[in-house]
Amino acid sequence: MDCCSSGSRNGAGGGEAESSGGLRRWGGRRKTKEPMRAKEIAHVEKYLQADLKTFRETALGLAPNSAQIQRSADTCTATRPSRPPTVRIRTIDRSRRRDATRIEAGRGMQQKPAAEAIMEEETEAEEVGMAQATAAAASAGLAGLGFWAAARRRLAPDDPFFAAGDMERELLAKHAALDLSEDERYQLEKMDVASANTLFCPISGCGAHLDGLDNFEDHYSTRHTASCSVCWRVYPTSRLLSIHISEAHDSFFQAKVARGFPMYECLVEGCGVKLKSYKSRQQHLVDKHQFPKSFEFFKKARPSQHQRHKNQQRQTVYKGEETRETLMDVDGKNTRHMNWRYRRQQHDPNELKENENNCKEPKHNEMEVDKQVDELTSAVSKLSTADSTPSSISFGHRRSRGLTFVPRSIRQNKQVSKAEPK
Amino acid sequence: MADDSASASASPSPSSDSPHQHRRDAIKSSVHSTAGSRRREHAVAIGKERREALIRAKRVCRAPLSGSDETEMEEGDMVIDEEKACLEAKTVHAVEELKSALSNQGKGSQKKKIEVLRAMRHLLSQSEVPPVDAAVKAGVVPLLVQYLSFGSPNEQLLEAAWCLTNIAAGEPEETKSLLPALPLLIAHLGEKSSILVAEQCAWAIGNVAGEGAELRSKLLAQGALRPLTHLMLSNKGSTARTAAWALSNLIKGPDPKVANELIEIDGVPNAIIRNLEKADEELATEVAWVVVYLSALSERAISLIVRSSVPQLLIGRLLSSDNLQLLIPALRGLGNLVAGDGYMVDSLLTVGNNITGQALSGLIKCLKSDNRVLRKEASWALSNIAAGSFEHKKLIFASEATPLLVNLIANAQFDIRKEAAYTLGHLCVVPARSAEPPNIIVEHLVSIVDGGALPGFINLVRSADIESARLGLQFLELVMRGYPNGQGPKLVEMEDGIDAMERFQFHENEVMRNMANGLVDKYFGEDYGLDD
Repeated sequence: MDCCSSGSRNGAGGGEAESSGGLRRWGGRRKTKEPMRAKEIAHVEKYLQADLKTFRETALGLAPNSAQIQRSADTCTATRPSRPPTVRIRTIDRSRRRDATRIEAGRGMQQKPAAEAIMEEETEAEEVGMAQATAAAASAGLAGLGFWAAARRRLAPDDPFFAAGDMERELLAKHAALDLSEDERYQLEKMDVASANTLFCPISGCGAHLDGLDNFEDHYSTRHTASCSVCWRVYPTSRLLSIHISEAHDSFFQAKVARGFPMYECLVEGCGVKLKSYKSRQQHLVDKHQFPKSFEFFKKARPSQHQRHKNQQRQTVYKGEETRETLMDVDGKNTRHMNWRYRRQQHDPNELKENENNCKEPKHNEMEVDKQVDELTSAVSKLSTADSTPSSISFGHRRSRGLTFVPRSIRQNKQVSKAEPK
Repeated sequence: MADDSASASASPSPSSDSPHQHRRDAIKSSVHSTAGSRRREHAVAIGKERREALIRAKRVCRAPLSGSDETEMEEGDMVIDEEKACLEAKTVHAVEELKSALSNQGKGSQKKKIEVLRAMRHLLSQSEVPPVDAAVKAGVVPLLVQYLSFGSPNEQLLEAAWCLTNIAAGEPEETKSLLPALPLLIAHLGEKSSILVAEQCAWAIGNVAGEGAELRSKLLAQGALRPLTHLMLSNKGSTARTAAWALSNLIKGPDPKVANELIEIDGVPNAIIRNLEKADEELATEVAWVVVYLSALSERAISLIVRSSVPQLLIGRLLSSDNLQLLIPALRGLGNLVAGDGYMVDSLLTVGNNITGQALSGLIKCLKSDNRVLRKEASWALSNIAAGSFEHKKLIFASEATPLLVNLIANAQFDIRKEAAYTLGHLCVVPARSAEPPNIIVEHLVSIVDGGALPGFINLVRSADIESARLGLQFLELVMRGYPNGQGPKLVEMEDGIDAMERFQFHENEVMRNMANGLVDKYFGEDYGLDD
């Protein structure tokens, strides 16, 4: 799959995410809710339709790299053709757990059941730790997922596991070890560790070829952490990020919702359904895609310790924030604590500015934002991958007002749509 | 390729035999340090080819065999930086000489034959990069086959076999070129041959066997196994050693047939035992490798070996030797035995036996080693013991191994971390009846988690390798289920475990997705954190 050849896909959707890093700090939360001009609305409406369709078609077919604008230097290395989107998010339904019959018995288990002491200890731990009705039933639900199997593992003599030892044997026998410099030794070692471990990125739809397991982390952090520069939530695909951004930071989106348009897209690739509210989308996921009821696309995160420490320096919270948040978190579970490290609770852009840029005025925020957006846009335009996108486009006089950003695909569609109505 | 002083220190401890013994593989070389440092520089500019050449299971013969009465002590003969074209020209010339000498008759013809053979041999053994390709292309192999004909004088056979040895040590195509010579090489292994000739032929055969499975089966079909085995029983140390090495190449599979055959040959088990017990480290090393392959491939061999004194001898060597060359096969042999036959863990290494404590000490010694191969394979072996009985787990847990493993899972390279993970996890569970989750040994789990192993497991969850990720998730399940007072989820959260698990939402592997999602749902669901 070549993420760079998006011409035929009309500037494929996705990849419109904000970059992390450089723009992470800018406030971005739209506090003003000025009405948009009708013309603007009509424009964007059309493109949004087109864009959502494109999202559906292409989101997971893209290298999520497109979301990482700041790391524009990386070239796409995906080598497998994109597969039809098959991601199912959180498909475990709690109610089915009790019926699970796929149980992975430990292989080659030879040992008799544990001594009583252990049983007692473990039962205690279970009682204390479990929230489920019966430990056994709950565990049975997980059984299909694989418990730790304490069993012997035998390896064939030509297993790559032994390659290092074989190499050492031959080097020593040839007394060549002496003549190898440190650097050479290191290279040989690296060759050994890496060679057995060439693989493909396991994130659905990515298909990138990785040279060694060490490289996976790098790859993952550059290509599968599309992060929202507004609230720093991270998503592993640009499609989900774009959905998030639309839903959480886009007042235009909210405007459409308010007018009764079904805007909340189903999260599952290829489904295509759109619902009118966050809650109904949630319900759709549960009903049609067997998502667990606890799944929450937009979560209130408990900030990490680091974040909490920083947050202590905050002073005020905008009222606008609260309204927004209640609007978003329809389930009302405001106390849910999830440690999404990239999410700051009670996001306060003003505070951010104070902390980082010593800027106190909201107006300055926006100007700062504009400036950064411009920088980003120009940087982005130099990128080779067509999926990189500017962080915002501007309509009319109020630059980047009312739209946190709009995907490049929309901007491109703006030019193209007349020729190719979607 | 070291200079003399270096080679003396690098080689295994010289045996009591002839002083040339230890220089079996060393190149006779200049004593001058400049030559040495030049070689070192040359070596530093190492290319992929050379790397591959180094890793090959073939060995170039650079010096006369020990006990040979080659009196010419050539000095400073190590030829380096020789122009490739020049070398090739010499080689072609040498081949021509070989050819013409064959047809010589009468007085002095024998002497001439030796001369030309020697010239060829020098080219093939003293050049830093022997001109094997040029020689083969010039048609040297069929000529050498003629020089190997029955009844030829020993010296001639020796030189011819030596040339063939070094040709076989080259690239795969070059090794394959020896096919016409195989029957004769095998024949000259016979007990009526001069011991030196037999040894040199064994070396050549070892190189051929080191090339690949195809050539191995050819050699076996032509009957190489028995005569080689016989040589391994020889009293002459270097012969036994060469034969053992050649055998290890011959039986390494992947077809287990040969290994099965070997163990059945009369005298082999005893020879193995005798050599592991008494022989010098060089010989013991090669015999240990034979044990490695026997124990990896042959069920029959394993069951015989575990009931013999071999395990004890391997453990003894593991404890007493500091020679990396010997430690590697001793460790791996032990690992193979432990992995391959339940008898080892269930009956032989029962807790309370001396041997068990010794085995553990030996493995711990390897865990502490500077060498990563030892650390890695010891972790693997230990993991298989930790998969044993509850007593085994207690024994290992209480030993030095646990903190070492916790350190490894945090700091070592990926492959070692994985093995350490296996071991640590095994220490924490006792399998339950099937269809039930394993029982957790809470004391061990708490200690290991408190000791700082959790980040290491979470790191594995983030790995691209499915097996490791699964391992990590399984361990997290143990922690979240079994850590007392319901603290497990919190601990996992603090180490960014949730984040690691949530990566799997979009993983292409459905089993992994379900597993991770299941854990997150179960332990970080609606009720999580409400008590805070």
